[in-house]
Amino acid sequence: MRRSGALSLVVIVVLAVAWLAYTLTLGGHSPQLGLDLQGGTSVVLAPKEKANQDQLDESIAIIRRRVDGLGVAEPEITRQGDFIVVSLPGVKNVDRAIQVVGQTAKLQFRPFCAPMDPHLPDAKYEEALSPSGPYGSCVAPQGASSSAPDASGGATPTSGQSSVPAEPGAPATTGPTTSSQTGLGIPPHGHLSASQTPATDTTITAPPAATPTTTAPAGSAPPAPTTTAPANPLPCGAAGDRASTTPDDQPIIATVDSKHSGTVDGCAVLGPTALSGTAVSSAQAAIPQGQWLVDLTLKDSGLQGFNDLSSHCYNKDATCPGGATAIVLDGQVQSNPVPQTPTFTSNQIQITGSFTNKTASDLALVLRYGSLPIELQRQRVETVSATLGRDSLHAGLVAGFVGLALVALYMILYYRALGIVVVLGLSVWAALNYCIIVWLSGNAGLALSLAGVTGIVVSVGVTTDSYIVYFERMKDEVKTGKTVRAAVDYGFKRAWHTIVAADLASFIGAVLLYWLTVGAVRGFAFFLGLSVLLDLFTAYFFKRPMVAWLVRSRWLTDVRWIGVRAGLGMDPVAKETPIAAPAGGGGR
Amino acid sequence: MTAADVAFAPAQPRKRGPFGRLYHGETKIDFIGRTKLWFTLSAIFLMIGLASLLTRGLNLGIDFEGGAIYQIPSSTLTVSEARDVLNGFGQGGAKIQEVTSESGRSISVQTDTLDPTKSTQVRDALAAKANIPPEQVNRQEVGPSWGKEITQKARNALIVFLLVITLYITIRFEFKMAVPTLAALVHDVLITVGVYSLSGLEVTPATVVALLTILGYSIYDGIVVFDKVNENTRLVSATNGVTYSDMVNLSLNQTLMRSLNTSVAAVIPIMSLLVIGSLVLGAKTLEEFGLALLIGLISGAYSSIFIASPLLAIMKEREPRNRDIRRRIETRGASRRPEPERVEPTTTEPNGEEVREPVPVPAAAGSSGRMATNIPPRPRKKGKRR
Repeated sequence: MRRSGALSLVVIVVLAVAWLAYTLTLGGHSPQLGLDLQGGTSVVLAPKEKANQDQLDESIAIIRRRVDGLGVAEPEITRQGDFIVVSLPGVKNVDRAIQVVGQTAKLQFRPFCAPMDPHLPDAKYEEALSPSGPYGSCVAPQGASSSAPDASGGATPTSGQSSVPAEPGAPATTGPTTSSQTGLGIPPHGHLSASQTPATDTTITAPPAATPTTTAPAGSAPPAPTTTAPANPLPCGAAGDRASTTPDDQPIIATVDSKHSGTVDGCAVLGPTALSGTAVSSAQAAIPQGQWLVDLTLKDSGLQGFNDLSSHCYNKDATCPGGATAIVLDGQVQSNPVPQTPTFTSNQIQITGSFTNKTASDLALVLRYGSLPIELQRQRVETVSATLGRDSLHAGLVAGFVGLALVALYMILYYRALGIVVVLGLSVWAALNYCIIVWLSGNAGLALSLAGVTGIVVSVGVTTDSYIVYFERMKDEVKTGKTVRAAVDYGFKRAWHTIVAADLASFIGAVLLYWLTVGAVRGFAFFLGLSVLLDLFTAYFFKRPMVAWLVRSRWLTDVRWIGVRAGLGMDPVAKETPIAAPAGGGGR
Repeated sequence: MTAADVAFAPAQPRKRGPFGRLYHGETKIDFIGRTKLWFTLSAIFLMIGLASLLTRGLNLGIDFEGGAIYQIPSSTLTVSEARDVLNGFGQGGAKIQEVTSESGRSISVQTDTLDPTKSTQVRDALAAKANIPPEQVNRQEVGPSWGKEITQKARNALIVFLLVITLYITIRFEFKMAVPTLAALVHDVLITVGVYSLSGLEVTPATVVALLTILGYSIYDGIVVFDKVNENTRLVSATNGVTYSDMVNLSLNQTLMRSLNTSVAAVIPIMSLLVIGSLVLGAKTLEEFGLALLIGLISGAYSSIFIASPLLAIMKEREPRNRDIRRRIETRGASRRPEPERVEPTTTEPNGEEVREPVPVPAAAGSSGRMATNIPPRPRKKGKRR
């Protein structure tokens, strides 16, 4: 046991030192700071009406997309109970960020005019949206359906590389009450035939429009400016950015994320909304004939609008030259099925394509979500300037260190040589704590908040207490006549019992708080819980072996005033020597 | 071997001053005997707190009430200038304060809940008046339902917390130890809430955090004492002349130094937060945490000794076995006055030795002619040097 003690002592010290050295040099350096320490804006949103898990998760996905669009450095979007907490450190335009984040996401069915490259100069997108531009009547605000038939004129650069493979499933009329078969993916101009047969789902096909994103225009000449113009930082430009806020009767440039990878890889010029998502009654992923599809049921009231759209698109007339409908959620194209018939008689519609289970379920979820969009209400908005954050951090750190130093001083004064164990133990504890926090903030997106700092400062007290319990225990033991060395082991056994009982109670408290509360309380609970666990760990693997090692030194044990004996309130050795002799003889 | 052959008297135990006795865990304070006094004291404090809570209520921060706070860092903006700006928005009732922190002076303005556009206008107007860009204004806005939500969540957390802790202590110790722990918890929370109500300090989410921490401390403190009580239970017997209350009292005295030390060790960092963080460096948020923690911590240290333990003694004394022991000791005590007397308890030492040794039981220090409230430390044995 003594040997294993020494081993664990060495291991833990080496671990603490090495990990700290690594953290400070190579890994992370310092933890990510919460908004209250770093400055930034945090918005807490809650659904106006009770929402289910799926809806909230979908809302978070939408918000994440929007925030990414804002170009915020390290946004943090979390769900805490029914609340959605959005943290935006270092966001530039606070007002806009707050506005964008809290909007209700809308699902729309729009006519698909044409695909476009992302990262074109803003002017290109504006031109595409202009009724006098290449897509004329497709993008004309609702009501006005002018002519401008040059829509097919090929302003779209993307030469259709016919990478859209024709996929299984015979066209049309296979499903139960079937109606529509779909081509998904942004259909390139002139390749509508390809998408006539149910092409691939957006997720799988790399739509031709997407491929040239970075690799510059492939073959066709027309759009000269792209090559030289600096890449537009906003995907699909300012037009794409405002797509989610554009009124229904206006055309938009929607973003396309064909791989569902979180990065926009294409844009689509879409006409005004033909049908809003609230017309959706239900949507389910299904696999009737070995191929995943989405069963979409419209409300009866929505069928008229849907037929208007599909007939235009089926005929590829001027208002829908792309020949496809676009299902848009929050300014992003989720799918663009090609109607297989001009009018649908039943409100049961099938969307087919090369869906997988996941992509079909995702699309169904989007449709369902769109049918009942959650209206999010701002519950709390807090903007902390960078200076205020720095001040708080500074104050917290200084206060923490001073507190730690004072506790250490008190312990040394009180327990003498044993106090050194407290100081070293607290150092090991602090080093490991720091490393874990940095590691978690790098890998699990944990941010250290002011409440967290307070939790840590507070847990200094709890940690110190486990030393006090131990040493007081040793005092009890030596009082019964045990030697210091005997008291080390025996005292620890008893103290460990107490420490576990007490720490476990603290830990239970921390877990419950973390689980049941929101906001600041949570951060606090997390760090308190972490510190308590670390305390147990250092108590077992550091404290006991360290004390055992310390008392092996006769000098440290016996020396007057500062020795372990002095710390335990034992009489100095000199006075005991006359007694010590018979003790030696009287031993077994 | 018996201790008798080697009986060595530590000559005369050295006379120790009160601090020496405290240090060596040899105090003989009769905590249990004065139960009524402690309970009365606590009752008075609780009554005052409750009365204040009912009449004055709590000064709830904007997180509970809803509203907006703007903090405008500026060396020139005056309170009256800010007041003018707010009057323009019909917010004449706004609270306006000058705040000085490490990085300079600022003006803090608290208004009612404003709609988003208006809130931005207020911020811009204040920034313009102070001649700073609007982004430098710290803004915090809370809708009215948020407070309700977090209060409800905190309350739910509290209830679940209490249930789980009850369960934990029941499993770890026994149910009769869970009840006093809970009583001490409620005591601490009420005292802290009472202090907040009396002083009119603002209640913020940080305060709630602190309050919940106090629960942790209070339980922690209680468990350390009860662990000792649990261990000392074997001392309770008629032959020893030790009633359950005596034993609890002994346990309290034995853990007193630890309780004090722990409280000191816990109070130091919190004082540091309050004094250095808040007063010297001017981080007001730290103050919010620190104050509630400090009050709760002191209350927690008090309640584990003066509320939880006496309550445990009262409950346990009702058990037939303990009642019996008490009766026997009391009858014997009555027949055999005057004390002191020497009883010879048999203690089983951890290493398995049975040691019969004379244990001097000093005269009852307690009330009601009861037996000793303290078992003095067993005399040193030697011959166990390893």
